[in-house]
Amino acid sequence: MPTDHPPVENGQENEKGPPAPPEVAGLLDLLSRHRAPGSGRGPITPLRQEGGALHDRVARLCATAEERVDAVLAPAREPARERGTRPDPDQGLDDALHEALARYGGPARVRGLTTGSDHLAPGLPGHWRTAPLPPMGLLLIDGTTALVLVDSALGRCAAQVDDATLVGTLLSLFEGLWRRSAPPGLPGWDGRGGAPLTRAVLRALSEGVTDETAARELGMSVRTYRRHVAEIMSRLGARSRFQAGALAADLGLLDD
Amino acid sequence: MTTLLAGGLRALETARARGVPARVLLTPRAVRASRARLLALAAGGCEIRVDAGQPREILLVDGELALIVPPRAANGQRPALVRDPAMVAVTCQLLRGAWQAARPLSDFHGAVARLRTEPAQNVLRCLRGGLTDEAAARRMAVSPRTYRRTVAQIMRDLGITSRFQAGARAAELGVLPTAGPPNAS
Repeated sequence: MPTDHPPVENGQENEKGPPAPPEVAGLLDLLSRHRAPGSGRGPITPLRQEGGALHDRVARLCATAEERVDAVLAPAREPARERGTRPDPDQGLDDALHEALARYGGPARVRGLTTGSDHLAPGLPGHWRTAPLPPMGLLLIDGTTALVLVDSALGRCAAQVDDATLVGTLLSLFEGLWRRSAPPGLPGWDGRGGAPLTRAVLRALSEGVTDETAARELGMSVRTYRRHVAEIMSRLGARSRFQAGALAADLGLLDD
Repeated sequence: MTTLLAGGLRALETARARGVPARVLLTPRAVRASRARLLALAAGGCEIRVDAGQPREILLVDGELALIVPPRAANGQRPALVRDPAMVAVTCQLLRGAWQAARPLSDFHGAVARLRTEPAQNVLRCLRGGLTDEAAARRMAVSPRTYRRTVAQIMRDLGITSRFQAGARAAELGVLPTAGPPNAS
């Protein structure tokens, strides 16, 4: 939200005003680092679409993932391999994202959003949900690096983003969309019980999935799932699921 | 009302005063904190939708500029002013997705108004008290089927599908009656 410094708010350069306070100085610094040519790993690096070299770059980046890969695959058109015509250069990065994911065999937990199952080749790893999405491509590696593909005022463009704030924002926006999508898959389960399992059960409850679906996704019987729910309710001091929801919300347990 | 929310509302009011199209997506908490100003903005043509989600502060201007203020809890993040076309565009697209799933303010207010009526409050009191459906129906002197139908309508107004979600959402919306025995109606 805007600071109290109108020149920044309106996108104008403040040439004659008082010296910029620390928050604004920080903003300007980010901007000038981005603009400096040859500055190496700046916060945002435009990517040029160069066929094989691009595929390699995306694949290499994806392969570095150790903890998590979050993706959005919402190409504007069907992938070239399905259309059977000459590949459209604009499809290069969409295909590169898709292929890098399909080939990913590392330890990271993969989650993805797509507009429809017809965009998915069989055998994409991880959990996938569908959502009505505007055209875009996004790959978030370990929550620290992002590959972005979108239509912008300059046409189709792609970039690698390494800035913590920007990648963190994209991840947060992804999480919001993820929670509203179907069919649900449940991340964060380590199969050994304890805090991650509690979080996973609370998440399932807050997403409104049936007990059967939740149990299946968590890899346990419905009876075991209901036992976990009962334990959470007992810890909250709740006699009903409604009460549990109200208490959990008040305690901020559903905020994460 | 936080400084950031006030600043954001001021930006919207300024934009609308100049006839610039404006949209804002808010959490229910933020709606409660700024009701009067939001109603004025809505009357002035600002599109307003409500979505219960992680609070965040993002200002997009003309599809070209993004001001991002990360939540205080986010370590290593600081406010960023972004002009990069790809980054602004992807933020725009992700927000568009969130916008599509969100609820218009008028729907939201209608639902909240219905939830504050005496019959709805009685049912919410029973739910909050952890009564079984049968016990609640007896307390309210209606059939269990009627009670469940009323609960279902309340859940529709809350925009959720399960009892747990209903409790969470009702708490968040601030429509839960204060503790006390359910009234016989």
